[in-house]
Amino acid sequence: MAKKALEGIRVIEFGLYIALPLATRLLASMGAEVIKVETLTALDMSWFGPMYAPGALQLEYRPLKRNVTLDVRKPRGREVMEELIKKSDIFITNLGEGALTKYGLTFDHIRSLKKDLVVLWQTGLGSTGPYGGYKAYGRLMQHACAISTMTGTPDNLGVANISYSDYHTSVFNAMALVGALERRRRTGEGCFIECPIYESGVVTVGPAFLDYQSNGVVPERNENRHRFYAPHGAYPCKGEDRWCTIAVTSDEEWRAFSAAIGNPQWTKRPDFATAADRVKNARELDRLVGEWTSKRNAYQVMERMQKAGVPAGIVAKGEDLSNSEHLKSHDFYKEAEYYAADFDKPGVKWPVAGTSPVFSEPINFSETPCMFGPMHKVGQDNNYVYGKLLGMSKDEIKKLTKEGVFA
Amino acid sequence: MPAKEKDTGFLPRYRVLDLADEKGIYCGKLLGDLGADVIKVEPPGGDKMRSRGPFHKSDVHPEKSLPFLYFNTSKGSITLNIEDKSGAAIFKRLVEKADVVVESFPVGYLASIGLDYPSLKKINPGLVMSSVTPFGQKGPLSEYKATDINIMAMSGYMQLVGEPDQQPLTLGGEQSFYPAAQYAAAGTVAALFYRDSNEGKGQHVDVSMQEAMITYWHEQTPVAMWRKTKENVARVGSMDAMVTPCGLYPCKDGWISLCVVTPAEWDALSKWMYEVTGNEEILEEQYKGGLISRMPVRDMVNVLVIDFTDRMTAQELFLEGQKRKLVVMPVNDVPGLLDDVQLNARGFWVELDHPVVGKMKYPRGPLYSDAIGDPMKAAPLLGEDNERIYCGELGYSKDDLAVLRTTGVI
Repeated sequence: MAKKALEGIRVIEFGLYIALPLATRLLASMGAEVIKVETLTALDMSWFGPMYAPGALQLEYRPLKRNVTLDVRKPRGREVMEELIKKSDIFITNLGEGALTKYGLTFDHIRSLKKDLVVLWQTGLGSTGPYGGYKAYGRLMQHACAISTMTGTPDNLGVANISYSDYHTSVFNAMALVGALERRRRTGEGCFIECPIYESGVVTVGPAFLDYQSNGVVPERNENRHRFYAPHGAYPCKGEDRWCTIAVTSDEEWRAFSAAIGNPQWTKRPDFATAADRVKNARELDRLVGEWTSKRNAYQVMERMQKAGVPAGIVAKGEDLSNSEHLKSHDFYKEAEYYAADFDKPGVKWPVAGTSPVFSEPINFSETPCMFGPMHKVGQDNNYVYGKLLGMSKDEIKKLTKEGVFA
Repeated sequence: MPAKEKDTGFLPRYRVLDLADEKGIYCGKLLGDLGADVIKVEPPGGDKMRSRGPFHKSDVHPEKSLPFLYFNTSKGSITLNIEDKSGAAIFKRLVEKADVVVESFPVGYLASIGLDYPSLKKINPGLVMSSVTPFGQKGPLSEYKATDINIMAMSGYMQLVGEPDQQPLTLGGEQSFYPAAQYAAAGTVAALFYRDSNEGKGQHVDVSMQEAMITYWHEQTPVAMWRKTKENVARVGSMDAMVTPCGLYPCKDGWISLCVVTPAEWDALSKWMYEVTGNEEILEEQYKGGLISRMPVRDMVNVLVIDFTDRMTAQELFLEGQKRKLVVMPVNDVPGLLDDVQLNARGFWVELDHPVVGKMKYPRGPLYSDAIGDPMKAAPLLGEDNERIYCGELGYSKDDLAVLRTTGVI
């Protein structure tokens, strides 16, 4: 059997959306037993995405996780949660303080249940400070974290149509949890960690913070142009909405680039002679490079540049990722079954809706390779978790299911 | 070497030898900020990143590169020419006592100088080697060169940014340098935890920047979309393609972002919009519901929202929105973040004093825990740990150091 980095570690996941379940997915891929605790008595809209394959989005978050239904709003439900926590190593949630208090699951209480428990609380803008407890979505964090002010054109903020900082938060969560396990291994102590999605996005602004403090420079929005490199951009190629990026980062690469396109006269112009000249005249340079690329296929431009030693890459679309021989050689996209949500029925009765591609973890471990496995149905592991792990009888599980505690 | 029991911080003083350039340099910073003993191994003339602008007070100087200062907090520095035979031999001695090597060289380079993972694990079977490269260690593209924008392109991320009829855009701030290094840090810690929980076996942790970046936009399910509809995810500008209202809206003093996901959030927003504009239309049944319910009336909804946001300032919208349990976020810029009352109240900005550039504020990172041990330190001066490591640990005398310096080894 394959070795697992996190063998024997049990994680209770109690929360929604993207950052939190992605973090625990990474832990599950590294061999932890992740138990996702959820209730179908509250509608989770993300079960219905994407529109062309409702339910397939969940594949991103659920491979390999065990899945139980539990309504902690019921007193017996809370007790069961407490029993689960006592049998676990990690408890991770992104619920608000108000909700947790209402359910009788304050962090002091949770930590009192098990001495060496590692607890991670993922928050929005942070739990303290004047905006403590405020709600946040990763989608808007690119604005709150200044990324959109550094992206786009002088007149228009550039926005990524995505839950930007959730992804940063998810990997911070995972790193912190494994670090806390490592500390527990040495000291025998659990700990409490908070990770706000706001701050996990702010760190990615990077050296611009120092540039403002030392030089008063506020980052400009200058399309794809770079402060120190030219040519640097996405250049139009043959076909509909086809682009290839090229980045010339040294004089050596400039000479290689010029040779690769046949040393046309304009590459010898004095206003392109040095990197400083090229950056100063980037707009004109971009026009000339674009003229050359627009007559060519994006893949051919990339291959010709790479052959010459110039960094280049097509702007990939879904079809390019789907067809990529390189990603296939890494077995990067797996295919797995997903389910059609029907909130009038128990999750275990939801039918298989089909299969859909899902990414693998981008970490390739030589000794403890990341694992991949099916997505469980909601409530599929009730018998295992409540019966085997907590030692409940079949009758009791039946009774609690009927009473809506396991729902 | 396994961690010492007395180390009570988040990460023990694991010895990390950091050979990475901008592609993987953030990995060592994350490990160092969490308490590891990270040593930047620089060529005798200084790491290439020291010549990366911008510079402090625009003064081109190897101790004043702002990217270097940002990405090398909590690290030490030694100089060593690993391409030189004596240098490689010294590096191997360092590896004997190290826990981790982080590198981001072109695939095959370390093998060419006899310092690849298979060679180093013979010296230290417990070594964890973490590699961050554009496309991973294997596969047809593994030798492709790439800088930030090429990864943003090849991962498909650029396909998400920009207006529909205009060119795809990369994000500001060279964003592809973060995800892969973050994964590498998480993977490194996991590999150390595995090693020290088991028989001390190290491993190679190989992270592809392209794949790391792909996972950072996967909620758009680009490959599923292509296989199921033969269409590609398209650029949609500043409004979300799936959720309405969600995006960037003009307000009295600039821009505000807001996003409505649940039916309860819509009810709260529409009630508020009605109170401000007096327009009853917004309360109509056709607009109610969650997440994707308003897609068919997206344009109309956005017009009504703009009529509302236009009447208020960003701060009014943010504060009142939160009172109504809505996610409304201001657009902050770099100076705004440095002054942000929330970040300052939480002690997010840490002032570090660097012997050459002096005091500046650095972000402490998002992790809060009593378990995090040592505080952050400013980036190292070139070779500032040479004596500590070469004399203190490897037993060279100061005269030896002079020889090694003169012959270009350190």
